[in-house]
Amino acid sequence: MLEELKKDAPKEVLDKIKEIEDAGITIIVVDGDPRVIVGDYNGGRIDIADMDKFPEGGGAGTKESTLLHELVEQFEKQINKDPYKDAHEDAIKAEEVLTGSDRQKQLPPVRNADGTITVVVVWVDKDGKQIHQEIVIDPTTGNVISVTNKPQP
Amino acid sequence: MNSLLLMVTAMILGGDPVADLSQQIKSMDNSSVHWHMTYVGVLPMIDADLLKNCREHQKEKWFRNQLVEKLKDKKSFVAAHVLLVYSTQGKWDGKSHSGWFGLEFDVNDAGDVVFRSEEEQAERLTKLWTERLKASDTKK
Repeated sequence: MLEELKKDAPKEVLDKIKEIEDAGITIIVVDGDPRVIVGDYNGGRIDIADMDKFPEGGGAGTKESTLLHELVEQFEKQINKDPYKDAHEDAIKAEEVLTGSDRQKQLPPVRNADGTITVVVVWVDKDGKQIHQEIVIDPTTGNVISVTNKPQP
Repeated sequence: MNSLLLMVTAMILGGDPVADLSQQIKSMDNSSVHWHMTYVGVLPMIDADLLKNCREHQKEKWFRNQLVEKLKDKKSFVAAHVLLVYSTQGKWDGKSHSGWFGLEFDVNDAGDVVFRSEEEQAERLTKLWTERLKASDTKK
């Protein structure tokens, strides 16, 4: 997935990845771990099964941008000793450079009738179109069930 | 006679699931909730087996009463709130409340979740859930 991320990444992102590689950070890769929802700041873990639910493109978060997000977040935590809030913000900025879109905010969560939780991340793509990225999470498994991009009228 | 003996034996060997769940709820406190710093912000998680058991009993009066009692205590109100959000039924848009379905917290530099004015929140969430559960009972 890292090679995929590097393939079409702008120079600014490639430079950041090189900085992370040179600094050397430790990341535990898990697959469907109930304790990890995409990434786990405190535990330094990333969940590839959750990342795989994200789309390839579409003006919002992608498989590659979530990986970049988690790499930058861990770099900021492990190397620069940043608290979660600051590391998370830097990770979002890196995602924005990679996707060319603006990750604006997150709407309050929705509990669905089946007990899953939907988190909506609001993005604005490079053409100015607003996209609601709906991420459905199962709290019993800690897994991302689905990710749907909904362009807003 | 044989079936009665089998049932009694099963209860002795396997325990009473309702009594077990009731005991689990009784012994839980706010530390039973694990806060995860995730891609989509800070999310609470609770033991999956406990949650599955709660979903099975979420419509039962004893279960709801017990959790409402846990809401009143500032040492357990967070766990009770998270359990109620995740185990009770029906769609609920969190935008009608501040924080996480009404639970307000901050994350400090050490990565710990710190709850705002616990006593006030325990009281507010007790009121919120009492009304929500009463409304869902009325709908039946």
